[in-house]
Amino acid sequence: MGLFDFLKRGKKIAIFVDGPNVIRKDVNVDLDEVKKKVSKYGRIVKAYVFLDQYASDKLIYAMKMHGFTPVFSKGDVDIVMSIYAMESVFDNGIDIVSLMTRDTDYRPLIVKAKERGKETLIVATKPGLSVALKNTADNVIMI
Amino acid sequence: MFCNGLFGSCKNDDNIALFVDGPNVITRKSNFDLRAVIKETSKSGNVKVAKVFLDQYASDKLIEAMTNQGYDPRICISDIDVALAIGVMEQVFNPCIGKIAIMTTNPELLPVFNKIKEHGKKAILVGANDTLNVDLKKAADALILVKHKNWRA
Repeated sequence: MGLFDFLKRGKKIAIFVDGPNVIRKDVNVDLDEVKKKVSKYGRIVKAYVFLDQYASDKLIYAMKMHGFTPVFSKGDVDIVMSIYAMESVFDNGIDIVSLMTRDTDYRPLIVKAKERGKETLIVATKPGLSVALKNTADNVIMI
Repeated sequence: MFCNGLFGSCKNDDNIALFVDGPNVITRKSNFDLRAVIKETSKSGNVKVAKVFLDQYASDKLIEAMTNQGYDPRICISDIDVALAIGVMEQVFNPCIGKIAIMTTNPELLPVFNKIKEHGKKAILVGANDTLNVDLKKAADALILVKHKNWRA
């Protein structure tokens, strides 16, 4: 491991997964692959997945098995996810704020995180990723 | 609660950040005097931040009117709710703000009210008595009631 890799590994990452937007049958994401790719940028210290009231028991179990903490919301998960992500933006122990979503609504969050000196990372699947989100974030990982 | 700034300390318990959910509140049917909203809110403390969130369809006249009434207009291309939640969370972490007032009827903002309280700040709901959301009403620490300018049913 080189010095550059060592410095990267020292960074702490908070990852937030927009469940209804990304965890779908048509998208078919492997969360282990996501964690592996995100881990190249640093150490994941916070991992949340946001689910709506329609999430099945099996899905919740699968999320826990992958090491994600599920957070439930009635209706849209956008607001709850942005609240949690904003807490990480103001957390001095977090260096990188990572969002797994394709939704353009999170653009103000990315802007705010960058404004506060945090590195931003978007994890998304190829079809449907918002161009605004892609161009605003510091780094993008395509799954 | 006191915060120690670079140039001394400031008493922040009475400082209020006011947020207005534009598309939700500024409609032809419910005609609010937003200057009166600031005045009513001022009875609970000093309004230090007054922001109104508008969507991309807001007219130039509306934006100018909001500025003239003492608000900082924020135009959002995306979802207003997310932008408003982010704006509120920024003030939650502002040590010079003790109370956060939100003028909305959208029940999806309930987690925002809970998070404000979690961080030890006072959550205030602003609105007309007949249009207030029950969920938000129960979550808020206090209510500020304002009247419609000329109510058309």
